[in-house]
Amino acid sequence: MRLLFILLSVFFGTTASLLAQNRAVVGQVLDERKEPMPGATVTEVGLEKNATVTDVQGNFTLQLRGTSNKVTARTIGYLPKIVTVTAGSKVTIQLSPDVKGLEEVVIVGFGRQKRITSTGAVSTIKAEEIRSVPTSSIQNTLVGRLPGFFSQQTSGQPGADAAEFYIRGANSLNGDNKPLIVVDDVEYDYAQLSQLNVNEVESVTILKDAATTSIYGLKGANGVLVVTTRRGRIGKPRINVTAETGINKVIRMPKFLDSYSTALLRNEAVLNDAYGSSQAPVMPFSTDDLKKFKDGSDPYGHPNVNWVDAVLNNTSSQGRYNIDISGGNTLVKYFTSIGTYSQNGILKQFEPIGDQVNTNYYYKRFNYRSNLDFSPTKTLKLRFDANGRFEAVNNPGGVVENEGLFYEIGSYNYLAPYAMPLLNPDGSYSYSSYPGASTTSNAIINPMYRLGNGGYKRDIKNNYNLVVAADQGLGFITTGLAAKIQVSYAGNNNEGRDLSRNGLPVSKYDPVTNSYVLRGTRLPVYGISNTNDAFNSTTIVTASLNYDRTFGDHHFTTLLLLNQRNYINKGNVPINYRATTGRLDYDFKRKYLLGITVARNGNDVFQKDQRYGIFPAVSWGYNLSEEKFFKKALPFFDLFKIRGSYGLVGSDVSFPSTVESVIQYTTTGSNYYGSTTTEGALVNPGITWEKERKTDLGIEANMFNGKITLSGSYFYNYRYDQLINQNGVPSILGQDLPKRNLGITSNAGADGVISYRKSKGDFRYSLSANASHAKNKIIFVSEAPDYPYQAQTGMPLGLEKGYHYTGFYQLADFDASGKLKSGIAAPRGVVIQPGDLKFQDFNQDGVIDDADVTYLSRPNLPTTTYGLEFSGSYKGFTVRALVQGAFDYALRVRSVGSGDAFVGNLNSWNLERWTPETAATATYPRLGVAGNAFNTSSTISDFWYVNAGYVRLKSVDIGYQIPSSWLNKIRTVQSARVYVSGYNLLNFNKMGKFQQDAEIASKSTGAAYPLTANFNLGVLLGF
Amino acid sequence: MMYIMKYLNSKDALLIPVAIIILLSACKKDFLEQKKLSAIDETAVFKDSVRAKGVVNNLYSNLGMSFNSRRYNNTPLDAATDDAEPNLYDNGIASYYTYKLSNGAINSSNVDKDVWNKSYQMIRAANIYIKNKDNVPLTADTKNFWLAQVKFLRAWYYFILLKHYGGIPLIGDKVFEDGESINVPRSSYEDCVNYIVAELDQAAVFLPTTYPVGDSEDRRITKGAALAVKARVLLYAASPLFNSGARSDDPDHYVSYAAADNERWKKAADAAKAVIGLNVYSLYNLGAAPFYEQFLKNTPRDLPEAVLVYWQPANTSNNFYVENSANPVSRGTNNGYQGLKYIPTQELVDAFGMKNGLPITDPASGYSDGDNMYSNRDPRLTYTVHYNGALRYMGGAFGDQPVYTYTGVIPTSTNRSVTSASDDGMYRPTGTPTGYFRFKSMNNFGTGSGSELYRPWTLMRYAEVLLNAAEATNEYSGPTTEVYDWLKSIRQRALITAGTNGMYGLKPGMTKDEMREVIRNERRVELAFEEHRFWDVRRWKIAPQTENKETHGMEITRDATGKYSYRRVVVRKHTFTNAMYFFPIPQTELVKSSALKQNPGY
Repeated sequence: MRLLFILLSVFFGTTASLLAQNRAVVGQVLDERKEPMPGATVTEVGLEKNATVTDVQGNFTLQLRGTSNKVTARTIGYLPKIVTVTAGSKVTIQLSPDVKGLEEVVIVGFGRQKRITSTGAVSTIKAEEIRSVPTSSIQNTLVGRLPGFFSQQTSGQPGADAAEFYIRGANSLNGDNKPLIVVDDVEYDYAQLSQLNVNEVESVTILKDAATTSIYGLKGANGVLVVTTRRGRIGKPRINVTAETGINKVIRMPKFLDSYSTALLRNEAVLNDAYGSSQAPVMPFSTDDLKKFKDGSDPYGHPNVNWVDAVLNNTSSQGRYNIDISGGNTLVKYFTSIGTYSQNGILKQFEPIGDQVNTNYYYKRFNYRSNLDFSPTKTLKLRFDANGRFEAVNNPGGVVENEGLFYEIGSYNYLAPYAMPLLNPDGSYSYSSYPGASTTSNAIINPMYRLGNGGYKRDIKNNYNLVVAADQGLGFITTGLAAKIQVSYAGNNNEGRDLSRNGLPVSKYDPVTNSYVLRGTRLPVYGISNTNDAFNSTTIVTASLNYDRTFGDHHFTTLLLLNQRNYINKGNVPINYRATTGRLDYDFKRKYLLGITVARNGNDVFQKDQRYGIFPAVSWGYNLSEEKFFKKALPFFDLFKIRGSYGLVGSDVSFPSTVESVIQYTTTGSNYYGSTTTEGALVNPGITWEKERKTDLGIEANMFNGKITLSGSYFYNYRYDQLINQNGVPSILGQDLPKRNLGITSNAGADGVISYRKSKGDFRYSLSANASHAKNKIIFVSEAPDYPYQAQTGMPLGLEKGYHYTGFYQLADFDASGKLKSGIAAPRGVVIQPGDLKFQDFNQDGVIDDADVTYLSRPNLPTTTYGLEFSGSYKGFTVRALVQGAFDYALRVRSVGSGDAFVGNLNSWNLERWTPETAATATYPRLGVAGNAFNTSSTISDFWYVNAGYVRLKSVDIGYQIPSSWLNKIRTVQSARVYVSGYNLLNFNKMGKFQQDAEIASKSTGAAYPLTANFNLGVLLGF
Repeated sequence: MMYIMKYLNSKDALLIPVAIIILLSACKKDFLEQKKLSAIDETAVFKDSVRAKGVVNNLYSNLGMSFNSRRYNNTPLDAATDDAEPNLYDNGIASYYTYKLSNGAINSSNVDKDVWNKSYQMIRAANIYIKNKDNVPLTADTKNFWLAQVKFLRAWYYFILLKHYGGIPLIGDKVFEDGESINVPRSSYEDCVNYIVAELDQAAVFLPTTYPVGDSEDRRITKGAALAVKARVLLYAASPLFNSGARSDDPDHYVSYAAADNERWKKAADAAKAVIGLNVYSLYNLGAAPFYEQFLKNTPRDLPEAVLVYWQPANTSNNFYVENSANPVSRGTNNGYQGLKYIPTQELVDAFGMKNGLPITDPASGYSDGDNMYSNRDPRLTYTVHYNGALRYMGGAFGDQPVYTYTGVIPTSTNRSVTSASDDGMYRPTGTPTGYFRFKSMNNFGTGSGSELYRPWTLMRYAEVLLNAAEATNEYSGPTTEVYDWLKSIRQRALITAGTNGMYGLKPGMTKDEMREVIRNERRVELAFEEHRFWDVRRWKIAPQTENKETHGMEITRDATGKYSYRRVVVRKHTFTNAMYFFPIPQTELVKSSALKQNPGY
């Protein structure tokens, strides 16, 4: 490695030293502890283009060309300092840290700004704060830490547990509210982001308002998440090794009733269903059956199996290992990292020994990154980044239910407790047959057999990225001007490999005759198929001109940028996108701030004459704390800024890949009469992107020498021109209508964070609280509601139509003959009986039918989410803990997860069913098998909506930095830290009855892999 | 310029050529102009006779949408009558549209819009053809032939709408555009009938009576099809539902004629006789079981009885189309198997008389419930339903083996036919809730893959034409010799014994009312599972009786010695309200179109 540095130094360095002249200043920059400070910029005052950077020892040499005889030294996180120098003499400059946070830098689109002069709504987190959180996906670590960030983690499956997230909630009728994700200026999707190794990340920033997102034009309306990765800094080579290992423990494993209770309730249900029938029903279980279930005297004829225990473990393991090397000198800086991540599933091992077919869930990932910066001349910077990921996600192949193993486990039709014995007396596997059992032939086979011998479904993903950039200072034209060109390429290659076999031979043991009934005779061979193959690539070329200059009290920053993007997805028509963007930021004495952005974007999806749109935004800020009167009145404020922005941003997600100008006919079909020609849907050539007007008002304050920092925003977003279906046109038109840009919604809310920092001797701690609130509303959709109370306008996004639950039908509602009294509304077509769910009759026609459904309940996305974070350190000890919660949302449970009796396996909620005796306390309708669909979750009603909401101890990290005095014995190790960390450690919610997690997707069928709490032990060694 | 010179002298100039190349390529003017996709629009289609013919071919695609054996949740419309039930052991039963159609839960908000939407889509496609018909480069004869098909097909889709909803908006040759205000009122029932009949008459002129054997076009419609559909439209129109005088709840006469008129029966009779008079159709009478075998034929020349046929696309799952939702599971699981979705009722079984032609209610018939109740029955019973012990091919070396529907003690065996009741029997999860399975028009496949058999759907066959003629003639002229002869020919083909008097069990000298009942029962038995019962009970106005009661199944319990006991069990209570004579106009259409009015009762 060292050899390479020397070579590079020789190559790039020699010519530079030839220019040395006489008026040289030699010096060293030190930090507050008098340690050398490498990488600090030293500039001659009055001649900003004459600058140099300190080396590893903090030393610099600067040729003075001007007359001021002063130099400025500056570096991030420190206050700049001006000193007077004399040519030929040595100077020492000591910098003090920026405790007031005035020089703090924030990331914005295509650049950085000082926090004090920034006018946008931005939240940032440094990756070192989240690096030890034991989860595979970066988005899972952000919730509760960034105001304005909303997320939902709907699954705990290794490799598929990444949370969905939104910035400032949702505002699009098109369902796609995903923010734009930009990693080092390359666009990523949710999945790619989740593959990123957090060890490679420097910071994560979300851009929330028009001032910061309009630069992304027609891609910015959903907000932008910007990730920057780590880069080398001037300094000695430093090697970090991290090793972590941990376990994942299921937070809530579903529990079901045993065979006896289930059989008893099945009889009750069958009896209930025959209410009002002229004949008595046939009971599925006799008293003899019940007795055998109860005493377990006939384990093969009357089995009683806990399938959860039989198939699943409670815990699984995970591991994470990283090595990175970074450092650099004035010519080259480097950051190189490799890492692996692996996480196993909770399936027990059933595959035959020596089979070598891993059927368990797992996630394996390998990440690599090399970020290189070259400075061949003083004004030219070259960047070369190469990074990528290989990963594999595994699923068991023997699962026959589309929704997955967890559906089967919860399902009465697949795995009732009396489905079959765990194993036959001879150790072979059986198959199921019982009232209500699945009829699919492969589904009746013992799941342990299928899981061990049914192969796997594996997704293999390869992702590779290259970025090449050159940044040329154009100081010879005018001070502060620079040009930059960047070309990036991102490619994804995904393949699916399925290994499967059906029709495993099983046998049913008959204890009466002591004989077996065979079903299939031979173990079939595996079949292999390739599925889900995907290829896509994005090439982005960006060229920009930057101009940053101060004239006296006036400071200008301008950016002129050309950006074009070519996206290829398999055999689809490529999509091309081009943007020209201009941006001007101006401040006067850092007191009055103004920002103007204009983006002109085009996308060739749209018709030629309406391909380009202009997205302007204006923002302003006023640093009151820079005013004399303010300083006098409220001297404890280090910073007090009010700011605002207003602008237009667009969104082109989920648009057709081509927009036609005339109706297309299809001539490819055929039937028995010959080839067919069909008219395509009517067209709307005028399709355009969604637009959002974003308004944001905010304050930012730092107080008491940076002890308290505070920022907050109010926002109002008005989204219009949303491409939606035209629902008001009669169907006798006879053709599908094109979508039109008609929809309008709004989204308003506020978010903010306040933190307090204190240090006393060796003890330092900080407390931080943040909260986010966002509430949306539909202002216009093209609708023709059947009845006025079924209108969607005025409701929040994402509601479902269903019945409003008002209680149970009680005995008093029926006459002596068991008939419902007249005047009580009821559905037609079913025999209503006591204990059935009763719904509101909205149109008061005495009949409960589809005319009585309305939009129900609350949306699935929380309107409010918050986080409380504590971090503290004492000598080598550090503690960091985050409590996170969300509320004001609902989710609809259904099917096997909700306790839909005899669709799902029976659980404790079903025991709270209505019976004449428990009429007053019942929380579940009377049991039935197929009697009244209105009692089941297949009929949507708010009975099945749960007011979700949760609080979690989201993450904890306790570490100890081993003192360097101990390490002296081991000479090669320069630093060592050991830590324990946890994720989802404590969980509070009211979802226990529904056997699911509070973040699970609405309409959940109970098929989700349960969320896990993760515990981790790690060590970080520096060499 | 100075700057540039200086620039060129500096070593930074290295970057200039690179920068210029990148910027030039980036600024390529046509970067957003790369899409050149071929397009076919309306003009291109109708300039090209092959593509234009494709428009006509496409109109055939939904010919069988109402007849479809798997129309609603894999069940046919018959599953919403007293002939059959949707499978009550299925967890999703309540969402079955045929379930709602027979329990009174149907309303304008939950009504299935398949027919409303699909028919108007087809009508639009037909109108587009008619708009462009003169642009197609064809000879006058061919133009007329194609236009005749288009007119027939458009009339057929209107008729499908008419039987569901009563009078519907007639839009003529109109092709609506996006953004056009569409607010067309319904036409009266009478206007719709007249329009459809006139269109069929026009089509019939240019349609051939037959196609030469082996002609590549021989699956297209014929003159006979146009006349037969006309006869059915007129038969429906003459029926009591429409032809009983003015209805106070139907001032616009959307679902009734303004006045009753017995002459409508004559029109219907004449129309049916016109089809008979073509002398091109005959009852299929080949093989040992002609009634069964006629449905397994798949070339036009083997279909002498077929009047109107939908040639569904041939592919593996279509080749098992009916079996895949009606097979007993012991013979099921063919490619595309949906599970058992519907089953025949005891009511349908009881409608079948004896081999001697007498109804089972006749004391002379020799019928009683018990071990022999399926013996000596109308041979059509065996080919319409599977009852306990009915034979079905098993596969492998087994050959034909019984299908068992009993409950109780099931013997153990490695032969699946012996244990068939564990899969197919009553109260088994995969079994039949009524004790029966459909067999009509299903092939006698074995388990597993079996050999495929392509079968078209016969939407109208000559037996129906005869029954249409018989019904209309009896209503107009009473039970004439003609009426007897038509019924006898049907019973003869069914292999009912002629009897010593050659009357095939028909009572000589019946009154008009007696004959009406015989014809109605003959229709039920002969045309079961062919989309007739649902419409027949409505147009005859007998649905309040037939569709308002409990349906039944036959519970057969086997004891350990193999002895059976029998019990009729209630399967489900049906509910019929007066509104249900017609489908409700979908509420979503009513709110979008102020001129559209709802059917009475909804």
